[in-house]
Amino acid sequence: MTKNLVNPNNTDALEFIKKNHTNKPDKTMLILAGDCLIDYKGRARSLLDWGERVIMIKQDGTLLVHQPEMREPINWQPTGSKTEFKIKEDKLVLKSYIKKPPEKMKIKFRNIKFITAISLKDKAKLIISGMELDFVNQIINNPSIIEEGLRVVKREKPVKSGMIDLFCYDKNHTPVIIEVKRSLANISSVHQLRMYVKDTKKDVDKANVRGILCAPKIPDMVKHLLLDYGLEWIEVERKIMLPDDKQKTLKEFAE
Amino acid sequence: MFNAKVKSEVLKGIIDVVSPLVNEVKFNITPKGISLRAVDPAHVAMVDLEIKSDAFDEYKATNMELGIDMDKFASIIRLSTSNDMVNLEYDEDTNRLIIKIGNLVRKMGLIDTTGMPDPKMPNLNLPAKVVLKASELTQGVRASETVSDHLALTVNKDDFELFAEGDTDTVNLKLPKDLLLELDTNSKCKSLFSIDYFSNMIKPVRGDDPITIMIGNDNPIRVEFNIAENKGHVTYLLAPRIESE
Repeated sequence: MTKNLVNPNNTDALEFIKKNHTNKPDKTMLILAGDCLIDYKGRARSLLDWGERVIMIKQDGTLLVHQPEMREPINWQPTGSKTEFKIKEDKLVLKSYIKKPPEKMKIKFRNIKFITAISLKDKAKLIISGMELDFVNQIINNPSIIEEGLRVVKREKPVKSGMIDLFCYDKNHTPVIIEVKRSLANISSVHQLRMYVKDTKKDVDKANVRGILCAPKIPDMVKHLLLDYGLEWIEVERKIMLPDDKQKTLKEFAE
Repeated sequence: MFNAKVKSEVLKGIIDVVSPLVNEVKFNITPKGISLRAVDPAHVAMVDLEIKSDAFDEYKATNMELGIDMDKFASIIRLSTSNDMVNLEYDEDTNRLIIKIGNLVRKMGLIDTTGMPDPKMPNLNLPAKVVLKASELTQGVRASETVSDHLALTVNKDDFELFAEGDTDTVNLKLPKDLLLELDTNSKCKSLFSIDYFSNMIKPVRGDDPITIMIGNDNPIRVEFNIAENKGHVTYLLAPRIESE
């Protein structure tokens, strides 16, 4: 099922959505583009002023907001979110909400360019070879590996002294710089992170910027240095360590 | 049926041996004692632990299995000090383990053991054997931790060697035969291992206690030692790493 509507007015848009998305027994995906204002309230608050974006509501309630540029969504709602549409003050309003974790997003449209309602079937699982599955990707897919409420905003963000692996915001809306090392963390990793935090403090003009060093193994000496500089660390648990081509398993030695 | 009374440090010893490797463990209980065997999720390491009933101050049991969540169990036993007596009793009606520490009663839910595997210990050809004091080994391992994520263990006719190499730094520990409790090999044997796994394996052993190591060439390592004042026995297997070339 694929249904499209181009440049609709509010009433037609709402009717289309009700008919092809809300009232459909099969779950449908909804893609809209338009000039909108986004008010988000969860463990943090954010307001994205009027601008033209693409909104995607997936078949499981996941919602993504994509601006015309950059790879990552500028905002999102988690899987299981519920969506409601209505017209208020002559604007189409989309409300997405979820109880656990408690997150609410209100998207107001003053102009809709297109709406597509589509039902997609995809049960395929991504097959990834050992080298491709990056720990950085794992954090992006599941930021709660680092901590609850962490939101990844940008990957490979350039700053004066180099390139930040992951630029995030924590639940208190404090910027968080995450530096990922694939093997042993050493003293130069600490200095690198320290410089990134310093650069970011200048860029975002905020006194409070957190820095977290992630590595499979962090020697005590390096931990002490991190503490001295007011930085944090996370040692990756074995459970989510990268598949390691150089490590054999006991299965290879069984009869 | 299971009802036992034991010093907390015996349980802490079991926890230290098992929990770095695996979280959900099947304890096999018999009238003679407790045994368990588990493999870590990555299938890189195996632990086999046996503890005789006389390690316990009181012990009464019939054949049964207990599925234990080690993180939960560890957090409970942490409430006790090493010399505290801990009482363990299986409650059949609610399928829980009742843990008593002094006047504190903590009832812990158990994991369903159906479907929990009984891993087989692979038959390995490990021709070289070294027995040494734990403290001789731990220093070398600790030094290696800041240099690399893996180390090489070599057994020669006259010595046992530990070697670790990073980008710019190296660690070398050579123990001649007279510093070892036992050294037995016909040929040189060498294998590489993850420092993380290896250091977790030898951590529970007290400095003065002997550790037995059996190595082959590019084969898993077998590490054995006693716990609970020689009334318990631990065997570890750790799969090797491949040489970089």
